[in-house]
Amino acid sequence: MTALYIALNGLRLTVRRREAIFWIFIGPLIMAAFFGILFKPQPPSKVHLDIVNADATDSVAKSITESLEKDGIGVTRVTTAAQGRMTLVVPAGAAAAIAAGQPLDLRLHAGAEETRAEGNLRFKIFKALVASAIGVKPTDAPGPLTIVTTDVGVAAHPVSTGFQRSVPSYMVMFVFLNLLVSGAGIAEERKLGLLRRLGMAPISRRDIVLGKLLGRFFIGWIQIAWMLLAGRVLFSIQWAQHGWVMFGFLSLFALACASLGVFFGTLFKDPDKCRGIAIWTAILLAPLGGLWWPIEIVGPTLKRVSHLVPTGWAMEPINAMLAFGAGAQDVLPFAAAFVALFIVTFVLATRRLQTI
Amino acid sequence: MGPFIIARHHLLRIVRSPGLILILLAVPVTLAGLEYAAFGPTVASGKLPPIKVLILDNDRTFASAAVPQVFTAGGPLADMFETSPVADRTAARALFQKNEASALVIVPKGFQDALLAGGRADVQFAPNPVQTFSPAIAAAVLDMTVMIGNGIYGQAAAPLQRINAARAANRPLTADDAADIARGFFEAARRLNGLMAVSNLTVTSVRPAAETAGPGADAKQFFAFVFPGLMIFGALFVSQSLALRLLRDRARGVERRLAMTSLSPAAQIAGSFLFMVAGLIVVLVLLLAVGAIVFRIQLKNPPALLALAVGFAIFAAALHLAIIAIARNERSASFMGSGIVMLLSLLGGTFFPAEEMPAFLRNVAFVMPNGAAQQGFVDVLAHGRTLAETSGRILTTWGWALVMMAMAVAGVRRRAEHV
Repeated sequence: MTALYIALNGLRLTVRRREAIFWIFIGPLIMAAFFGILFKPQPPSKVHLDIVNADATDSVAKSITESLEKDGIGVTRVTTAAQGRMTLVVPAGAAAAIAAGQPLDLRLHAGAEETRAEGNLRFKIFKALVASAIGVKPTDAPGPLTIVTTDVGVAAHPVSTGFQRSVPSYMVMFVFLNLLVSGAGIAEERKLGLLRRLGMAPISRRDIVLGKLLGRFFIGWIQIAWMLLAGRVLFSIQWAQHGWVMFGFLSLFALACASLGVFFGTLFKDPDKCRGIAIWTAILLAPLGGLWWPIEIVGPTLKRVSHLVPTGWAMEPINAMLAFGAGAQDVLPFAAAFVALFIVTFVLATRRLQTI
Repeated sequence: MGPFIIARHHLLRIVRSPGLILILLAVPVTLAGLEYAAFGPTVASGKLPPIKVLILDNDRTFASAAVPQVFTAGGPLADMFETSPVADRTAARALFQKNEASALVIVPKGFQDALLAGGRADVQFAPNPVQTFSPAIAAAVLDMTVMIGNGIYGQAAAPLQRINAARAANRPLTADDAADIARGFFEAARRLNGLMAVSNLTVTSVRPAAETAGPGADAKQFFAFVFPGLMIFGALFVSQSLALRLLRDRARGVERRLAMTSLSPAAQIAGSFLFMVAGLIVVLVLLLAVGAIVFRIQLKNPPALLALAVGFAIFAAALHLAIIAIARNERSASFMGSGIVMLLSLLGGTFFPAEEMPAFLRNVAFVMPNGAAQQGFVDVLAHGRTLAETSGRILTTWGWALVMMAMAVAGVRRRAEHV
């Protein structure tokens, strides 16, 4: 009961602070909205390409033009490359090089910086060039080989773009960051002697630590509930098929983070340093766990590292729940990891606070 | 002399207890190292890590066995993919969940028979919904291969069908039939020959003179693109921390005590401002030195770098001095400062390259104070631009700096009048 009283008092003090309100409710939404909009799947915009043919015959340029137009590229045949316009040059001897199986390099005059649209266009040009080399025309009748999109046995929901990626990622990041930074409160109370004063009261040290932990856990819970609700209402996120499994898992995540935050607080006497280290830790672990960029694009070493950090333990099962409707059995190993993290940090924090 | 003494005093306090500033400086350096660990190998090799495609062969025939080779046959796609067989969809799902595969290709039973019969032969493709780029690349390659396969098949199918039709009708082939069939096979063989030439085909991007292709063009350039944004981000945080120290002095009554001395309020304001600007210039110079020593960034065109660093230092110092002038207490200042730094970082392109943003946001990024300074540093460090060529960015940074300085001075004076 005493622990609960301490927890609720801490919670009351936290929600009174405008800064806390910002980082619990507003900051995560701004980040999730910004990156959700930035990575929202966009319908491909019409790309225009000029083609200059320097070859003696028109066969390669014509074939590429037809294929690209079929692929939705607006093509204009011009005689010289104009400054600032995306232009493809079919060099002299192109048709002969293809016929002889000799190297052929088409030059795409592009902008100052490489862009994703340019990369896509380059692939389409390559495809058109291959079609030209083997004599395939867009007007050819469809062949017997057909690609059919399927799934892996469960209805899959893409979680890699837009709000469906940004909202869960920033929920995890801000819960982790806020609860870690909340440890600075412990350091501040130590510095001001508030913990010593509390220690003089007829309350066990265990109750004090438990109270501090629960207060932070409630903050994590509030933030999770807020992000789940805002995700559903504001961003139309399809949350997990097994809602309670997800909420239970996120609760364990919040508990482990709260305990880690309390432990952090016991390591420092200077709250500023505690805050600084906590921010540094969160900023380090967020990308390592795949919260900032997709893990698929990093090398094998960092992929392995993502399995070893708490942010990765959170994101992998959350993605599995969102994308594949994973259930309790799938998230069990990660839940166990958070329980272990909670136990270790809670025991260490309690021991350290015994000595204060 | 007064402002210099005040600034020197504040700076000496930082030198005596540099812990927090060093922690804040570690943030951009760590992030740069992390970004290099994540993307450096890709940049150095110019290739993405191999994309893993799972193959579920339910047909187990000669034709179905050829499907994995679509991804690993060599040519321009060599090293881009790796394939791995899986027993069933459940096994594929487990690997998808662990982010260990990008796509599943299923060759259904009856695939070869359908091909030989000239009927529709499906290849099933399941992208990993947890991933973005790799499944799209695998799908594009599969699509291209199907186009090639259909093209070759289409040419060979016609003579084959004529032979089958003649056999089914039990009639001998005429000389014209034989000529047509031979022509058809010849054409199919010619296309196959064209396919052999595919590995010799390339499409290369050409950039305007004196431009580079971005961070991917040269591994050594990676940090010259990445580090400036992180440097600016770090400087904003350090600036907030320095301003909060001044605020604490105010809360402890140091300001009021100073007001009792012969120092004018203007000298006090100038002292605080000088401390912040000098501190931030030192921070930026330190970060540039770390960039040069640790990340091998070539510090080209020092006058342009100095102009950008001083301009941004003035802006960041003025911004946080204005904030602490408005704020009632440390928490309020921290709230405002963190919120503004976050917004500036989002809009200025600290977390995401401005070049990749939609046109509207890109234009916004380049007129933001941090965005202009960041892009100015990139222009100098990565593109080797001169002072004159960077003047637009420098002017934007200094414009913001002067406006913010005026606001800060007004705010601090107003507060000083109430002390």
